[in-house]
Amino acid sequence: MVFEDVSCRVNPGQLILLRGANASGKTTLLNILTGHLLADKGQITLNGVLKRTNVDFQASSWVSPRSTPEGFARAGISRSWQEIRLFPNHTIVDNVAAAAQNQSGERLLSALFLRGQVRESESENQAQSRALLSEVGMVGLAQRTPRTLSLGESKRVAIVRAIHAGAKVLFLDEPLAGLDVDGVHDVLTLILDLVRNQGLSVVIVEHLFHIPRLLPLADTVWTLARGKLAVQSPSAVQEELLHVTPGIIDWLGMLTKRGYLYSSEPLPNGAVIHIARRDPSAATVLDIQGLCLARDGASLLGDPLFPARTGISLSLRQGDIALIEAPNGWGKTTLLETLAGMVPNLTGSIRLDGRSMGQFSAWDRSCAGMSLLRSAGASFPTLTTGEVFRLANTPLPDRLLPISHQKVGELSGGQQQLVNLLRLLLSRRARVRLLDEPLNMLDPAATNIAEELLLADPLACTLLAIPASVRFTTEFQADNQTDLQGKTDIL
Amino acid sequence: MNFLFHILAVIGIYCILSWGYALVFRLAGMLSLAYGCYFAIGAYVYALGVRHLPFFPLLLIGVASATAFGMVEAVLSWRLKGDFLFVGSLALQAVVYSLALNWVDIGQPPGSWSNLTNGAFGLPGLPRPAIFGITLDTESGYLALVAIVVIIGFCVYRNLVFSPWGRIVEMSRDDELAAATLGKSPRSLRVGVLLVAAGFGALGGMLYAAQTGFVDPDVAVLSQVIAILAMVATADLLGSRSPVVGAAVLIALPEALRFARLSSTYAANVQVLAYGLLLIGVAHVSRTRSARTVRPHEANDR
Repeated sequence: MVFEDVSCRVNPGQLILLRGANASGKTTLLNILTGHLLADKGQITLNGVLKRTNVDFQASSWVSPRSTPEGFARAGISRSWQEIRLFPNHTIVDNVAAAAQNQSGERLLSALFLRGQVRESESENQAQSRALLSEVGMVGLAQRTPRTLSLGESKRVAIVRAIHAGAKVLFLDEPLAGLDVDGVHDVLTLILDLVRNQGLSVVIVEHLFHIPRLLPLADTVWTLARGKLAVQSPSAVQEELLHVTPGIIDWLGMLTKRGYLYSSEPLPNGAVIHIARRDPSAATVLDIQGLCLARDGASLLGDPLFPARTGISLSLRQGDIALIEAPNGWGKTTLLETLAGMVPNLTGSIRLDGRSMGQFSAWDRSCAGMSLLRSAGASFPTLTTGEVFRLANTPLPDRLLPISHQKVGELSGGQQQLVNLLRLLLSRRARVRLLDEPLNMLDPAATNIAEELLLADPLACTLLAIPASVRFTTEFQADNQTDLQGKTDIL
Repeated sequence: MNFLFHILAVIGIYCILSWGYALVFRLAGMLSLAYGCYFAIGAYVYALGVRHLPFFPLLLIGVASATAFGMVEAVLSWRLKGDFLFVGSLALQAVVYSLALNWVDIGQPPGSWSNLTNGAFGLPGLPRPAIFGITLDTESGYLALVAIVVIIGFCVYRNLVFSPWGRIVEMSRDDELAAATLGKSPRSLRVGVLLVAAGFGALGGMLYAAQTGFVDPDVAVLSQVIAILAMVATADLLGSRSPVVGAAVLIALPEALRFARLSSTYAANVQVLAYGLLLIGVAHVSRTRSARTVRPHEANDR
């Protein structure tokens, strides 16, 4: 049983923030409210302008066409995903145009026999889609394909598409995740405009980093804990955030109290690297000289003709914790994947413990101690947690024992991330730990575990990458602190 | 000259068949082997009806009965996807083949209810269709009929692929969940694709039966679908948007081999070999292509 007797209400023009610890069921609730999962019991009523749609889960084992995702969408409930899910092979304007309901050209017989009518309605639809895009200032992108868009642009197109599909209530799953400071601003502006001026209701699921930013904008906060949903006012939640522990960059700075040396240097193209060094005389583990980044033949960073001047050069010693803070599109993921050997590096040198990695394949580098945690697709969904740790030849930590027989694919997003992170941080082989947005999706308890483990291995060094200017803020609920501790054990 | 007309008519028939299959395989991304069933149903409807009905009503009946059978595959596709649909459609194809082979009672006249298909002996001696009293006995006349059907088929194919319907079918192939969230039912779209394809298959089957004048269970064998699949895939391999190229190449290739003074036994083997090599080539190209396709989450950090 994930939920017991959950009731909630969304009014027009409301901005609602849905929060909860890892595995509290945020995604499950979202899936039920958008028709992707069936509840055992209960009902959902949508009061539209013209009609009232009612989905009763209790009614029978027969799945009514209303309780499918498309049925919910037709009734005006739409959603976004963490990954963007634009249709990759169609232009942006087609992505938006396809969303319109009741297109005559989408009925098979009209498409065949009523060419004139179809052409007319389609050109009208295209015009409407362009108008919608120009309202949000993106009409210039109309003929581009999704893969040429930045992350923030893609997220906005996905929202516009949902609006064109007739959404009255929009559920957004982590709309701000992975965005740099400009992207966050653009997406938030769009959401606020839709809520304030067009009466759209928006329910946002966000992990803790963005909650302080969203709280002042939200009308209501839904908090999920132990299968119950509590409806709170934003000001009450604000007061609960008594303790705001520092973000990860400040956390690096605070390591000086533990004897670390903290420094921060600029990298090319507007990125910054923060390094907390345990011992300045320790042996160098990772040494990068003049590395230029390219992906699929397109140059991302550095001029291969002048690698020493334009490429990335840095060296990390044993016990170092380094953090790269870079804007979207800088090449964070490409940098980490180049180091791990997943993307070929053509210029520059990578040395691990003095050995050149240039000719090493990805698996050879991994054996040599270069471990990468990708920001997405890092899980083996069909293996159990225990099997994942056996595969990695890493002892299973006690706190994961309760889920050691559960398949990773069945865990919640946050739990999966914790499994992946612990698998890597506890590995005895890792010399260099490359972590791409590692604290995404983690709740405060899990974040603390991760931070402690980052310090635990004095022989390895760590390189983290996060989007620019997104400060991680950890929240603690003063009156629920014991409860969170309890959750730690479950994790 | 007649030989050339004959080849052109065969190419035309396979064009129609490839358009239907391209809707299933390329537009909707379903790998289905039941397409041969529609071809066989069309062929048998022609064989059984040509002596009793004028050509155009017969054409309608053929298309209608194949579409009705298409509902069976549509029901399968309602619950099955991907590999499972592939296996399910293979079963359908096997059922139709064994029906064609075993609906036989030697004592009864061929075409009667208890000896519908005449089993492995087939239904021979079918007359060419007659339109407005003119029997299309000559190869050129028959080619003209095929050309008309090809033009109609092309218009239907084009109208569908480049309509909003074609767009949403393609989108639902790329991301079913996202299409559903826009209020489109991926299942209904798949059903529509299969029904239209059944119509194309039946048309091709009837024209085929009319041309050869003979129908036996071979029209339902698996290699028929594989050949059509190879045509659609060959067009992909050659970078063409239209399956016509594939049909032309794969029909013309073995015929050209005749002029290379290969004996017919060799030519048949070379034809199979060519199909095999082409399929391997296609598998390679489509694999590298899909590997080049950027998954949304990977595009994030460019």
